Amino acid sequence: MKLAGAVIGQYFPGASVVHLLDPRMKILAAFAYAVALFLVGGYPGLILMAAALAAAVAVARIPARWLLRAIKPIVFLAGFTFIFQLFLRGGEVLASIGPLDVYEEGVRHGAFLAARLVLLVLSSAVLTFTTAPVLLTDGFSRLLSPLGKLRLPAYELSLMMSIALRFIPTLLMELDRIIKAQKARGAEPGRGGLVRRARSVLPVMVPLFVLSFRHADELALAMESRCYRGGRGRTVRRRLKLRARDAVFMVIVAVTIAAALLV
Amino acid sequence: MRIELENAGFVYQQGTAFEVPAVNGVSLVVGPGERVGIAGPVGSGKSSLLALMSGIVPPDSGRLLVDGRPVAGGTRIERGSIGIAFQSPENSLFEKTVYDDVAFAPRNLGVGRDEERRRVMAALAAVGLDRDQFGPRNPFSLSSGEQRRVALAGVLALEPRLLLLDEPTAFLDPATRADIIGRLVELNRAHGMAMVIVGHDMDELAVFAERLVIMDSGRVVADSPARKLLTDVTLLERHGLEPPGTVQLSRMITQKTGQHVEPALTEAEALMQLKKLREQGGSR
Amino acid sequence: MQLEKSPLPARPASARILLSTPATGNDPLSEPMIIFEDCSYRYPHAGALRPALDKVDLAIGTGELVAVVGANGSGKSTLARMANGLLLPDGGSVRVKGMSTAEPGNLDAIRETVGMVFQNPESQIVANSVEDDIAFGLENIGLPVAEIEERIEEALGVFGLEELRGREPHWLSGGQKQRTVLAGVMALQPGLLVLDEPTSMLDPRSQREFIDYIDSLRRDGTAIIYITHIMREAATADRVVVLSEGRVVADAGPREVFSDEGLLRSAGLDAPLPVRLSRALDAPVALTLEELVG
Repeated sequence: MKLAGAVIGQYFPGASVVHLLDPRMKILAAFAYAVALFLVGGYPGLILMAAALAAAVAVARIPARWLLRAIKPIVFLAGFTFIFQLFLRGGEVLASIGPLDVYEEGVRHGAFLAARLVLLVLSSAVLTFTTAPVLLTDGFSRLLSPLGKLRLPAYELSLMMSIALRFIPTLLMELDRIIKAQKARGAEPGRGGLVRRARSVLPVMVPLFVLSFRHADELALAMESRCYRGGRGRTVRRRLKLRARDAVFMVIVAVTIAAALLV
Repeated sequence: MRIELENAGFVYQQGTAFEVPAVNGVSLVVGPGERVGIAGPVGSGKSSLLALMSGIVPPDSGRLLVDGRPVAGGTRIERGSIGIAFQSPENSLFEKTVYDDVAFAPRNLGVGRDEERRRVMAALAAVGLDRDQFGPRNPFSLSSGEQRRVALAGVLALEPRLLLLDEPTAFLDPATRADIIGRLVELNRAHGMAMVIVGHDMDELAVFAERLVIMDSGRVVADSPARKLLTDVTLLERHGLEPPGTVQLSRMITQKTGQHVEPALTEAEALMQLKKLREQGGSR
Repeated sequence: MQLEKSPLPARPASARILLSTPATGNDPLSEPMIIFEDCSYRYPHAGALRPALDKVDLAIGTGELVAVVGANGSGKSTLARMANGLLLPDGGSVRVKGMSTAEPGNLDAIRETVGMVFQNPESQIVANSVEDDIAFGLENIGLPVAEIEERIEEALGVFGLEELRGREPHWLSGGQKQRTVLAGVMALQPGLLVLDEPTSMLDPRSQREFIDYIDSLRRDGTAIIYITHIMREAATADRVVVLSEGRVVADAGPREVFSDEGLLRSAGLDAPLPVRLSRALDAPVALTLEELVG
């Protein structure tokens, strides 16, 4: 269950302003934030961006351990980026490690790149922490809806995405159970030489595929039974409504990004 | 083999917004050759408890001891000595033939060809599948009842000293259910294999269990000889469980006649009580 | 012993001989809700030795609760999938309110009439929250938003899901998932409800509550096909249909069906405890413990 828990505990329920914002605006803001991170030229801008994110975290009352958990998977990458940059020539020599000199410019640049990476991951984490998956899919599907005008099946696309989101946790839990069941039969996945290791995947993957196909089959029957006919004649129940707070939010986002790019 | 959970705790969905303690400070001993039933309402933590007993899932607090030695302290459980079948074990079938699937466990244990063959044959026989008829078949072409039998054989082929089963008869038809429970009791009697079954059908546990553990909200609320607990209507109902049909019948007879009748646990006992009731009714 | 008065007209005693004359529920003049006529089906994949359904005749009227029992693989689930045209018979026909499932133009109307609940609740939840899942079917049939909201509230209330309305499916227990699925189906207000082992994930107490709920639906006029392995649940039905190797081998009141020991054994079934005990006593067949004690 630990494996599944790490992936599906993505939503941090709450009632803060950040939680209540229109999901479309949050998705757009997260996107703009990511783009701006790559355009920001120097530390003042980056610090401004970090401060803005910190403000959102504080308002949403997201606990620090959730943030740490979010960046855990990229700690290695960020650290590697930093160390790799350390030896760039430029400025004073700060220290010598054996034959290698560490330059001031290297530290500066390495820290910048690492911080940018961390902020990128944290900003998308804040989006998923503060937006219920239902609203997240809703938001995405509304943002995708102009595709319908291009005669692309917008409803079907968003339904596909929503079903994928719906079943990922289920399949992860089942994967977890299958691994345990095969371990109980003496399997030791991931042990031995390459061939043995590759073979040891089968006892886990075959049951997982069988189960996935069964889910897909049964889900299709259940959907048809509940009168699914594609987007034809379908009621759109939840219309997302923009409120004053969303407008204020977007203004703040725009001002912050503009300031970060200009300073 | 004797396994012991000492003040064991397990938290479900740890590290998420919805974490709940599934098992909360449970101490429990299962000795050699015992036949134990674990009952409790849905969500009482009985499945998690079973997983903790297998050693496959480490407890978040407390510890598991095998023959008095703590497992976490570097002692490994002897491979194959504890077998566990989780709910719907047929969901873990994967080989192309029934024979190969049942042979998966003995192969992992590294027993020789002859021993492997002996174990597969013995396991198939124990679950009531004809080895010549079923051995070469594709497990995915079998009926759900047959798949369940193959999956149980796949765990039995470990030849464990302790067998843990989570709702081994769920989703099966009544004849298959009764047959599987009967075979498990037989295995226990013939080989002294200790068994723990998690279930909520009290009629079934009345047939299977010598000792009963009742769980509610992550804790063990009763642990006594099965007869004592299965006949304790107040206790069972307090924990959302239905007394076996025969026990309900005895209670109705008591209520009707105003004379206390001992709760019946078998159909033979219930029949005796009914006969007596009818004689009284006739003489009145 | 006073026999419980059957809500249905008396039927001939031999269960095996009587193969369903169209039953008409409470009103003898009304058209049955669903009629299976000479209905056969064989799964297309290789290795299907015998038909999954073999010349099945069955009719169910409004307000009638019909239990379908049989061993694993006897054709129960196939029968369920025929009821709303998910599977079409190779031979014979299925008609819902007179509409044949073989006519593609009828399917929309048939599916609005027939509610289906399958065995595994996990794979029947489509949406990412309880509330949205209940809405799924209602949105599909294009109801106005106000009515959708009304029906969602009602379904949440009936199934005790108000607290869980925003919960994602993977945080629900098995029983909660089952209730969510049922709420989603019942919100569509089906005239015929087909339930394929719907209580398999519930404990006995919840199973009894479920049976009470089904009973209230029947009294309100819903026709119900109830597939189950639990014989004491079947004993509460108006009729019990026994399937064996794809054939209907009995279709009669529970008292008659359960009194035929040989029939049950050959179909891989077992009579409920009160029936077994009354048989051992050579007494008239009792369906409940209360009847047995008198």
